[in-house]
Amino acid sequence: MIANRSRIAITGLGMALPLGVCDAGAFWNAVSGGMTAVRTHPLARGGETRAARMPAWNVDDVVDSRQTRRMSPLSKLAIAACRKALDGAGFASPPRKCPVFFASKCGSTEFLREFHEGMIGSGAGSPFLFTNGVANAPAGHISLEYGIQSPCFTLMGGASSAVVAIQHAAAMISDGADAALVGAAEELSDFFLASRAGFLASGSEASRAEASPPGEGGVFMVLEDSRRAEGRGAHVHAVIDGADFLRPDSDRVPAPGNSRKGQRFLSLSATDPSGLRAEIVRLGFHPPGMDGICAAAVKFNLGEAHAVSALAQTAVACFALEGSLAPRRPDSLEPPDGLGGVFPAEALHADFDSAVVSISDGQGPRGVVRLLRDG
Amino acid sequence: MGKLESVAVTGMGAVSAIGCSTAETSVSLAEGKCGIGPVSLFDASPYPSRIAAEASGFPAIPGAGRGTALLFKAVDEALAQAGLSAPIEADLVLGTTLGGMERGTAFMRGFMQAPAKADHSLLDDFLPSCQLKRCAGRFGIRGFGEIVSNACSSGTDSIGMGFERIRRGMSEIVIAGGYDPLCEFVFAGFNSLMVVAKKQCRPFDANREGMVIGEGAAALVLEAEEAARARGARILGYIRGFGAAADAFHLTQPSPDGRGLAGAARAALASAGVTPSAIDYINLHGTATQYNDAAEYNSMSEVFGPARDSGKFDKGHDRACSGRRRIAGGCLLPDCARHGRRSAEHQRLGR
Repeated sequence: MIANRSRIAITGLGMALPLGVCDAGAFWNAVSGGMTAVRTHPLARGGETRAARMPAWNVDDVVDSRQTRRMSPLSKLAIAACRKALDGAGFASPPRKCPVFFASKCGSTEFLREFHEGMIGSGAGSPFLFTNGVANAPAGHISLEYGIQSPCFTLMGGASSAVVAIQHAAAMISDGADAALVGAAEELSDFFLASRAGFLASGSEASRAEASPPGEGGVFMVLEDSRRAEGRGAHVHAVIDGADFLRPDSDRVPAPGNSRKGQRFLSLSATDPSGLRAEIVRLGFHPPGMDGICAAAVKFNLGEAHAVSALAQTAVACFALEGSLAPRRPDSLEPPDGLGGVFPAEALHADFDSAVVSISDGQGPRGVVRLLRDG
Repeated sequence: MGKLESVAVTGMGAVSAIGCSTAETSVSLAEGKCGIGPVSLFDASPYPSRIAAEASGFPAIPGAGRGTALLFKAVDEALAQAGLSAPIEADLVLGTTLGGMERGTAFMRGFMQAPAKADHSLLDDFLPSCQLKRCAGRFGIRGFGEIVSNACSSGTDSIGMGFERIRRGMSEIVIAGGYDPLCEFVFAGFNSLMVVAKKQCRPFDANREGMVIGEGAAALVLEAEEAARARGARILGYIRGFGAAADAFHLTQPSPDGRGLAGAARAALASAGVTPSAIDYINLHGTATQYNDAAEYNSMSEVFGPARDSGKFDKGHDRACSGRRRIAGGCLLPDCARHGRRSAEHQRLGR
């Protein structure tokens, strides 16, 4: 739930993702066209793995700051996505009261590895790597870059951190914040992929929950009160109708926009047919009776990147609402039996009124974000 | 905003270098016990500082790291005091700086020597989300879980997040806490920043020489007051307000004028609906670094007025011994107050 009286609008969407890199339009074109960034990559010390990695890119093309030379790959992804979100919302810099909620499950594994090399080799780790390698460094850089003196929270709970971030950002806007920045980033280093491959091979229960191809990137959203957004003439991607956690004993969640009768879009997070079916049922639908429903599962496009995936799902839902378009399913997505029409084989125009973003991790559904088309 | 819930504290747990429970810690605080000693958990000889505040007396958890063991001890105590047992319909919000980094370092050593032979099972309890899941599983906590990683304010911010959730009706019960085990990574990191003391930790002393790294865990059970009373829980205290802020000054150094902390303090007062004159006790971070203590002094003076005659700068001794455990001092405050005890030490403020 969102415990406030404000109507919360998403006015900025910024991304640094393997599809479209830092261009939201290119990202949506790639996703709606069914493209996937998941590829086979060789591992540094032999073997190979499937992952969605960033192509070569330069953060300095996006952010004009001397800070970037000191940043970890994680911080670069975060600040590039943040800059793009601010641009999209029409902010040269954030308004005065603008809390930041940043999520990353794994932090900067590359800088941590480099610090360890110095520490283990000579007992002298680099202070630069230490301060820039800790998980909250990206939020710190964003605060520094834009002079943000509002609270900056770094969350490491996984995919569901996106729900926490949206809930608390909405509450703070309700309390008078001018806007809020909600974002996430994950980085995939060679070291991370190599150690992950060994971890998966160990066959432990925890490793089985991490079996999906990993992804990397950054996504940020600007949230603000819809009346404020309207007042300054900002473009509204979508309105947030609610954000909820799923309790173990609640097998149904409230559908969005109960007063509305239009078609609905589901932005799902499962990575296999049985998981997709279970997720649809959990959202309160009854396959095969799925008239007026279309769905996408962005992890087939971008891999598993925890809260980044959750916010990318949210972005896809916004674009689907705005463009009245359901993405073409990637070739790797095999729809559950009888639900081929829910995951269109070609991009499909549909008059969506509302959307549900279902957020899960390797151990099952965690939460939902409900969106309404503006207007 | 709609009706705000009153937030009660119904359980506390703490483990640190000066006690393996809140009762032990409370006595140690009152007696002025110091938990600092030579580092025994790893070879500290390459580093300028070789002292730390290591916890002891808590049970190890097979297959899990030191952070998990510390966390379990504190949460177990807090839940017992609150009278909660599995299944527990509560949310779990934990704060940590580095989670199970000692396991990560152990893995990294093996990986650097021979990648194929590295012990990948160490990664089962490396990331903070691992401890979160283990804690929820061990105690049957069925609500949502979150990790707040805001460096040294992680524990305080986890309490703040739990407080806000209950106050706004988003949660009914939140188990909020913080944990950080001593590990070579954090020890090496703060040594690399040249902010550690070689001999003694002396917060707010004119001759302070830096911090001493410690370890520990602390947990609070927070509940909507009405629900707590309905189930007959004993109420230990209340959280009335919470504030947080950034200073946008530097990645590791606070703004010398303390504007970030002053902003957080003002926000907390506003959240509680009280004026500075209503505050009787302030528990500061007090790391004993040059930058931190000066910034804290300046910020508190700005918000609460000059400190020398106010008696508001009382510090828990744990802060002097283990500067990273922000939660424990705060959660022990109700206990100390109830027993009529105050921490023994008042140090002269030296900027």
